Amino acid sequence: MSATHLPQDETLARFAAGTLEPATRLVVAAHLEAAPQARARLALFEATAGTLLDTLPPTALSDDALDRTLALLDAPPRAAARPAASRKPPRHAARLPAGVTLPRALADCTVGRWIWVGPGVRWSRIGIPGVAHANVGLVQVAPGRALPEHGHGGKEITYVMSGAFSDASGRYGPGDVCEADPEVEHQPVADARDGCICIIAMEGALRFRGLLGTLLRPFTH
Amino acid sequence: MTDADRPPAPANPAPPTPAPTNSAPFNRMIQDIAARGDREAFAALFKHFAPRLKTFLMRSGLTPTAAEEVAQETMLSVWRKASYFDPAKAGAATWIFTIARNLKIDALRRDRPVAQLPSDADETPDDAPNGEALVITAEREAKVRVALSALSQEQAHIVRLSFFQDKPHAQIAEELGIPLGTAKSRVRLALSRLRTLLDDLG
Repeated sequence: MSATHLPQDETLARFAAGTLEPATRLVVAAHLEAAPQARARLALFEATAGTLLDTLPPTALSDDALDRTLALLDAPPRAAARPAASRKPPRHAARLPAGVTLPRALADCTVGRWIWVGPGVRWSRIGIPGVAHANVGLVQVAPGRALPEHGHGGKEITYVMSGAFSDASGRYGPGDVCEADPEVEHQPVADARDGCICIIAMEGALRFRGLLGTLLRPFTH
Repeated sequence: MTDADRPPAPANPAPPTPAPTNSAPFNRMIQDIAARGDREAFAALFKHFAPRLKTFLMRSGLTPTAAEEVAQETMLSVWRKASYFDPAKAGAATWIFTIARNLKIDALRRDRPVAQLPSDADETPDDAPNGEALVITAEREAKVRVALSALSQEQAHIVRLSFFQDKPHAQIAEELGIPLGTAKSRVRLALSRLRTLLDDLG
């Protein structure tokens, strides 16, 4: 899998800075697993952040901050109170076709069951631990089917897990990301042979029209 | 945010970019922690990085108290994860920044304890060959410095704000007295220019 459509520079810079919304961050993390070129760019932005960190003016900590930290060095990490083995694995209800696996970035997330949202289109809600209303989910589109035309309240970012889709801006295959700005109304059409399975995240609510909008409303808010 | 930690406005040109520190001595300190639990090295790292991390975290939207907690948590994590530090992948400042960033993301998510350290599974796979990798890291850091200094003063300022402000667009719009939409496109331009400069340095 080799991606040809990478995130915008600002998106990778915001990933490096840690200022993306959780849903968007998750989609970019999934893409980074599949795209060495994006990882290389991210490394540049992270090195930029590290370099700039050294130039920030220091803010004094409380007088005993170092001593208190030194005293904690030999204590067991607090996270060890919850050993990974005792944690229940999150629920992954949506079945994926043979050969398609969830990106590792989703390992701690819940993945809801598939919900029919239109002819040839199914949606599965993704839950991010600690985030109340993450606007992100899987969408599966049957071969040759179109996602209903939609606009969005904010930026939309889509990661292709398998198959491909095309819209006015190009063709997106496995590992690619497609970013759409709020003003864009687009109508992605799934590959005629393979269809597609994608992860879509929205900043702000997605606004589908008509039937799908009505169906999705309970799940996107 | 207080006025004290607001970066100087570009209108008063007092280039605040001190020569960034060479990361080699800090790299060695982390390796000394990994090799023999060197507390002196830890104290030296703490004194350099914790106050800068606190500034970064306060600008990211944490209260001073939370910023101090996360800065300490970051340094604690540096101690515990020192054996995972690989100077071939990233220099000390970059590695420490990414730990603080991940803890900041957790801290900003409600219902989530600050103490939950990012698991090692979060880390992106390493595909750099180890032999040349040390050189690659040093080169990358050198390139970043060259690229940052090649930006116009306003663009360098915008890049700094993009990394170290909670709401960079609004802040830039206010400081430069320009509409939000214009600020957004200037951020996009500055970051693209930075990346192009980095690419051109090959």
